[in-house]
Amino acid sequence: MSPDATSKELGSPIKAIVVSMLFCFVCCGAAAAAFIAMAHYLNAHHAGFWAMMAATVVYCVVILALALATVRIAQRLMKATLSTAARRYARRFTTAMSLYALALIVAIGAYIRIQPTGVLAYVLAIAPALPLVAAIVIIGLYLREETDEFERAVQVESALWATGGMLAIATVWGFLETFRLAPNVPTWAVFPLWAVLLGPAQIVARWRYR
Amino acid sequence: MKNRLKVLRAERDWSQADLAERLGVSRQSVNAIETGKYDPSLPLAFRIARLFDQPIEAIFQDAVAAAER
Repeated sequence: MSPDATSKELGSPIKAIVVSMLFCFVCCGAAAAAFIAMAHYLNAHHAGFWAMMAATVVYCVVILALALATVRIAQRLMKATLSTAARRYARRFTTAMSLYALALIVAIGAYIRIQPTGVLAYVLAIAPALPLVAAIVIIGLYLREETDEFERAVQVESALWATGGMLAIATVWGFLETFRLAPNVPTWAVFPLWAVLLGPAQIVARWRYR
Repeated sequence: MKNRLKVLRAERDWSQADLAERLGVSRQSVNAIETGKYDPSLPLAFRIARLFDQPIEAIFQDAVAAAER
């Protein structure tokens, strides 16, 4: 086997990221659209509280399944197996996201149903945030546990690109808000924004090592 | 950083995957190091040197030192 053959065999990580991201965006978009349509339909037909909650649960399960499928597709395209650290990360992250979905459903349900006050209101409001904070810690653990130094360097660089993008967007948006040119966005939106930016950031970070 | 990894690998008839396995790193790492796009850490450079039984400076070429010569 010629020494060059293997570099051709190697799946392109950039292509893998682009394809899996497109898949994720298209499918999640379709799922979100279906969920919104479903919610409208249920509202129009004065469906009960439980029907609405059931639709939300189904939506959360579909989104989680799509996220897992995205990882599988990326893996297959890269023709690479995940490192032990990456596998552990995927498992922990999925658990955190499942807990997040669960906490969000419970919190929203409780707010609609029992309209909590006092300490309970705070506990319920913070409940969905905790699994997301855990997810941030899980990302940090992955960076520490990844034994492949090149992969770790790429991931750290991607995280920094995503962080820079997030700070820039949040800053610009904040000033637009200050001058009443943009609607208020809750600050929890920065983490999903960061996660979305991580995709393009991976492409930017890997580009240098093509 | 310029290096002779590809030559050393060819001499032993190893693929990138073979070398990656022997070093305990990913194929992507070997590819990035070989093409000079990623500089390995000192511990990894020593591992590579040990594997090929050569000093580090015989495998990796310091651009500054090369210019001064």
